[in-house]
Parts: sequence; C-alpha cells; structure tokens
Amino acid sequence: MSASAKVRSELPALLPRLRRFARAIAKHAADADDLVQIGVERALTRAEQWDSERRLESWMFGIIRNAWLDEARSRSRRDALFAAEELGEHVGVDAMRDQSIVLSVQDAMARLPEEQRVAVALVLVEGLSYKEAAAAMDVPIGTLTSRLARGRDALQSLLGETNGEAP
Amino acid sequence: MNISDAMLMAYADGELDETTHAQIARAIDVDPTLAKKVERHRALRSRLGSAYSSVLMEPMPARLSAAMGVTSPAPVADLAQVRAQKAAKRFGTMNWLAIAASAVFGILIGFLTFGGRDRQEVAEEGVIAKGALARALTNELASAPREASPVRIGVSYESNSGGYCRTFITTDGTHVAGVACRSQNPRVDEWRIRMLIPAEPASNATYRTAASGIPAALVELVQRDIKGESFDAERESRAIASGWKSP
Repeated sequence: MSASAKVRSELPALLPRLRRFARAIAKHAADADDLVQIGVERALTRAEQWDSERRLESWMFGIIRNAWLDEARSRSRRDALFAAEELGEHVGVDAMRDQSIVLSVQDAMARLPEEQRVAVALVLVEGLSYKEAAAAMDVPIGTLTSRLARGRDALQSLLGETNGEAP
Repeated sequence: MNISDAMLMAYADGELDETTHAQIARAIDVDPTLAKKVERHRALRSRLGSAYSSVLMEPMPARLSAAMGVTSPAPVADLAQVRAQKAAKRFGTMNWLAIAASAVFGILIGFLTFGGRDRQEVAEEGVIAKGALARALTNELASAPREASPVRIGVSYESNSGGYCRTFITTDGTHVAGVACRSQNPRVDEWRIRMLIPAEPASNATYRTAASGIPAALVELVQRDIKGESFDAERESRAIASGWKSP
C-alpha cells in the first residue's frame, strides 16, 4: 500500500483522538473541529510526506499543532482575548456531576502559553511518550520536558491542591 | 542520590530507564515529600485525561467524515453490512468474519441486555481506564470471562501502531462499548481508552438478530487498527502472563 493509501485508510480511526487533542489545545469545540478538518486536509494533500516508520498519530498531532499555532498567531493579531465567553458555552452541555472539574481543567488549560498547552495535551491527555511528543512538536526532548514541567506547575497552581492528597 | 523535580515528573510518566526508576521508587518509599510530589503528578495526569474523555464519545461531525472523503457510517452495524464491507475491502487473509462473528458480535450481543449501574460511571473511567474496567482489561481472558465482572472483553489484538488493544463492553446495563490500548511503556501500568461509545441495547437477547446494537464505529476502528488477526486464547494468555509488555 502506498503511504497515501495508508494514511487514507488509517486516518478515520484516529479522528476521535484528533478531535480530543484539538479540543485540549483549542478549547472551543467549533475551533477544534476546524483544526481537525484543516489537519485532515493537509495530511491528505501531503500524505506522501508521511514517514511510515513514524506513527501516524504523532505526525497528525504535529500537523494539527502547526495549524493551531498559525491560527493562534493570526488570531492574536485580530483580537486579543477569547476566554470569557466560552465559560458560558460549556455550562449545561450536560449536567454531569463532575462538570466543575471539567470546567476548571479546560479553563486552566486555556490560560497556559500555547506551547506548554500543546506539550500537556500530547503527554497528559493523549498519553504520548516524551519522545513521540517531542517529535510531534519538532523540538528536542529537553525542550518538551521543560514545557511540560512548566505547564504542569501552572496547572497545579491554577487547579489548586485539591487533586492530590490533602497535606 | 539527588532527585530533581524533573526526574520525579519523568518517574510519574514512566519515562525513566529501569535502574533509575527503581532507585527513585526506593527513595520515594522512605521520603513522604517525594511520594507526595509524584502523587500530584499522577493525579494531574489522571485529571487531565478524564477532562477530555467525553470528546471521544461525541458524534463525528459530518464535515469531518466528509473531509476524509468517506460517507458517515450507519450508526449501528449489522452483520450483513459488515460482511459486505469486508468483502469489498482487501483484508485478504485476515479472518475478519471469524473475528466479527464470534469475538465481537457474539460476546457483545450476549451481554447487551444486562441491567445495572448508570452510564455515567463508565464515562468517568476517563482516558485512563480505572477500577473494574482496568482490572478486566489487564486480567481477563475474552474466552473465559468472570461472571461477576461488570465488563466483558471482546477481542484482543495488536494495533497497527504497535501496542496491545482490547475491545470491551459493559455488562451492567450501562450499554457502553469501547477499545482500550495498553501503554507501550512497560513502566506505565495504563490502559488508555481510544474509543468509548454508547452501545444500543439489543431489542432481545438472541444472537440471530442483525440489528445488534454494536456501534459501527467500534467495528470500523478495529477493522482499521488491527494488525494481523485477533488473538486466540493461547496468545491472549501469553499477553496477560507477560503483563501486556509491548509485542
């Protein structure tokens, strides 16, 4: 099978995870799906560039991450902030009892610098190894781990101490 | 030995080599401060995982399926449809019919009608499987399910991306099916849920009905993701005995 045919056949199964990753970095559901759509389109047009030694998901996460950084750059030029309105949109999506937890994690994620958020999403949300996450971000492992550590510190202080054992 | 915060984080993520991992494990045993830091890292990991898990269950927007150039699958697979799809594809020597008919369909259909807890508890398992689900994934043979378990394992296979995966369905009336894949890191004792999807209760408990309530998306994921054939009982036993160390 050609690389392109392989991408085409394997990609649909990855879609739910790509959506989850996109949601973790873009937060807003519609933005996240836009990102996935852009990612899929890019992947299909340049499928022959996929090194089949590499896991497709890692390649796809990289494409989506790049699309997001492009988008975030132009967005930050357009308007400064897009945080407050989204809080309301997540309320009432479903009345699960852990809603407050979901809300605060997403809100905390939204406050991280882009690259820290991507590192956190790859390793803690998607469960990639450091090596795979570094490859997806196209950075050395040391850069990945320092972004991850800073992102974690920030999340822990944003989310408070309640998630670990009480002191 | 001087243990940095970076090392503790890597420890919690299962990223250290065996020797260092063992050294830190010993240090943690005698130092509650270190243990607490590791616990915080793990708690955050687990919390992050759970916070986004519901995205996996959301229906796929048509525009994304369209971007793939595929039409969206019918929400519920029936056996005839799957057979037709299979015939149309080139899975060659792969014994799909046997997998679908015996392992996935038989077992899944058989247990779709049990009553029990509400669905939420399963949804809360999050990205990292926990509790009864994790125990079933780690220990249970598809061929020899334990009656008391609220989860039934469907089929075990090696994924195209390298690790072990297993399908499961709840047998406690929650009507949820899914695929979980074992971490490929031998030091991370984790099953990550790749798909969690509501499974419609079957209208009756017989096996003959085509409208089985098996989510088509689940069948399709396995069809795409499976490398070779699903495990027989012997291969499955070996995987369990090895602690699901990467194939």
